[in-house]
Amino acid sequence: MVRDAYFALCNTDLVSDLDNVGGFIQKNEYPSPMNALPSEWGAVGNLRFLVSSIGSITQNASILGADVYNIFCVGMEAYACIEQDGYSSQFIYRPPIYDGPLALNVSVGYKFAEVPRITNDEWILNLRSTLA
Amino acid sequence: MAYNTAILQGRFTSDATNKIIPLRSDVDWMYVYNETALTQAAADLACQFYWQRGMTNGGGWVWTKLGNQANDPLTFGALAANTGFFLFDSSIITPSAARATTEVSNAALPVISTGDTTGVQVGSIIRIMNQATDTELNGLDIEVGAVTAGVSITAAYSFATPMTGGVAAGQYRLLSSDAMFYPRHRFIINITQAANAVVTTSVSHGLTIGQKIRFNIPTVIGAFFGMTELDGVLATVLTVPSAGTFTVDVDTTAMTAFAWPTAAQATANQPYSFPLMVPVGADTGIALSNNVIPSLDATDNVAQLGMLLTGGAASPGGNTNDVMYWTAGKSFSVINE
Repeated sequence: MVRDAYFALCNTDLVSDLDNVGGFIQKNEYPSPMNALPSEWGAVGNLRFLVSSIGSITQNASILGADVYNIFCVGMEAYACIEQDGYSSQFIYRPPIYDGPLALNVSVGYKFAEVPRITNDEWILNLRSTLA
Repeated sequence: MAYNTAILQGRFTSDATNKIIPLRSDVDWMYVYNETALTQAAADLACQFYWQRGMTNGGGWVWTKLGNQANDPLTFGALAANTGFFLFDSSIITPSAARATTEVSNAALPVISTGDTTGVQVGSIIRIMNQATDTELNGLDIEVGAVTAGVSITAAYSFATPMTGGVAAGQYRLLSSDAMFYPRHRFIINITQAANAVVTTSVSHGLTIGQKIRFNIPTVIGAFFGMTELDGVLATVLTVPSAGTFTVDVDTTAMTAFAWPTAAQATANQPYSFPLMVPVGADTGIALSNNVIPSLDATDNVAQLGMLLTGGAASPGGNTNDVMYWTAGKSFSVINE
């Protein structure tokens, strides 16, 4: 059973260590794994761990110089994303015929109109860890 | 102009330190000209520098004016390793390889002895680790206040209490850049007991009047960092006396004195977290009354892409008061075999 929980956002490097945490529940052991998020790795206590390869790392920051992983534990509505003009981002691809008179080149670009914002910093904790 | 090409140019007056030229388009080649060296009556001054993609990072070529007459003939050679051009991307913090230290002084403004100060200059940020004796510094980022090449590094800002100090092995790493988002959280190394407490950070805080910060003062043992009454307190920056200090609207006179732990305390209580200040917003009223922009609670990505020019008379960063001109370009195609 996975109860209501806070999200813990962390780097993918931590998955092996998470597996070894006592009482850790793998996503496939959830009663309803189809309701889990794609990035979700599992849960323990009141935390559901979401992993990403761009999760925060402070390099060589431990006492012995090991990398320190920042695991942001967030409460509901601790942060918000305001999507301006009704969209967050657009990836724009122009094939050659539209991008030059000789149709020699393509172009790609993106527009980004989103404001992520911490709404209450007291509802976010940074759980710091090194690898086992 | 073809796609993916751009030429940029500019000028700066050198202060003999490393100079970062932001080049948002990225760069494939760069010329730097030292106008002062070209025209002054001193012998054998480096006056033109060149780098292009494919050359060793930190290298480049140099044209040196021979003789002591303005506009004398030039000679041409390669820059010594790590004295030239470095591609720069501050969105990625890359710590250097670990460098050995041999001693930390017994002072509130510690002097760290090391034989390797390559690339370290005033304002650089170093990360201390593996100190055998001064374990109270391990894991901490400190800003460099002074550097004696190949001998020592002095911290920029004073701690609440002197270091334990002593001759012992240790290490540090030089960070390639500061954190990319402003305002930045910083480690706190001193807080005074005053009606408006003065807070000192280990690295320049960059705060302005009106910004709000939250204190995070961990409780480790009874007397460790002290001033745990401040933990979780939200404060407004009232004044900024220096780059490493600021005052807040919190009366700390009745609070426990802030302290920096001894090495023995640090060793006995690992792991622990350092005291921290986290910028969380701004007081718009105070900001407006001090003619500070009210949007200072915004978080800005201040990362830069560009070129770092090593400072010095024989390098593209130039010597003090040298007038430097530069052009940089993005090539249509780079074919490095």
